[in-house]
Amino acid sequence: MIAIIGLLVGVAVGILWHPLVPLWLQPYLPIAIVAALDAVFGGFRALMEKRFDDRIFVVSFLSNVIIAAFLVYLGDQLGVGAQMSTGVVVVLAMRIFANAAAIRRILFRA
Amino acid sequence: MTTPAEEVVTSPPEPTSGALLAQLAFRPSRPHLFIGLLFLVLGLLVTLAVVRPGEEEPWRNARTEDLVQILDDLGARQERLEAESLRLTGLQRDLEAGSTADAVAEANRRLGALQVLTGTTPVTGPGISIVITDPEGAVDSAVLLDAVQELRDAGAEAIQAGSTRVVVSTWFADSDQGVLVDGRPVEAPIRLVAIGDPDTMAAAMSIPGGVADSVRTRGADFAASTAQALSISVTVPETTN
Repeated sequence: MIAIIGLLVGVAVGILWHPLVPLWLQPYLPIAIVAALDAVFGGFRALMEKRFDDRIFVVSFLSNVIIAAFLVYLGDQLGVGAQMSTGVVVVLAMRIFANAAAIRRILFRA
Repeated sequence: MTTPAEEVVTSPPEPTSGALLAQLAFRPSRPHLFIGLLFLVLGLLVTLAVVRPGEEEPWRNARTEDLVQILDDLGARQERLEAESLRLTGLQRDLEAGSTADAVAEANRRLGALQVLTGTTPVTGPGISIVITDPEGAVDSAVLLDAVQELRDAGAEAIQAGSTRVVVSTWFADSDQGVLVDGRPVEAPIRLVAIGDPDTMAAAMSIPGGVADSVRTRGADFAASTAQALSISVTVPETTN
């Protein structure tokens, strides 16, 4: 419940306040979002499987975002920023799909 | 198909749905608040990524090649416009300079013409000098007026009759002392000096039935001589009204 409220508040703040994203942060924004979504889906799957843990969720959320951002940063430094971003997004998307499939199986038993 | 909430309502002991609802329940504990904070950050990030300021700018999502193309187009356009601007600026400068000089020259020309016409300035130049010897007093103001009109028609810029400058308001009248010009009697012999094209004025004077003829039919003598350098120094006082 608090999570949903937080999400709504975040959206509202983003729309109303509309802070300007610093330029150096712009490349990491989509990666961070995908990583966070991966953590959320993982957490939801854990919730479904009744092994959800607050601590694990928080740590996975933060570590996912930080590692994804670090990978993109590293890719930028190595001159393969675009490829690294793509790779990170692909891997995270695959994880999201896997988690979504698990959630679907539990929810609809299909 | 039943939603988890309905399942809970119909069968509360259902373990999965109960646990889910328990997790979804409003339970303000520290981990939950932290998770809410994380979701807040997530919502903020998603909103920032989706609803970006300047989303209407079409090149925000354009590819590099397109951007290069757009940049090239803009550069070419700027070059073209700069050349156009340069050309127009030069034209404007020329026009301003030209029109100023022209305006000043035109104004000076008109000023000179008006000064000549109003008789406020001495005039020198080619012209015609006429001497009418009229011992019998047969030449009246009408003849003089005719002569002046003819001279004006022939392009006389300035005319002097006797010792009077002939201008727009000059009038001729007959009197006991002879012809009056602006109230002053013209001493004999009557002298007319006109500045203008000498040949044209001489021809105008000597046309059949013209001024010379009418003077001579009255028994007076008409003598006209052209000159390349005549001067009319008589002026009328300048008035400011």
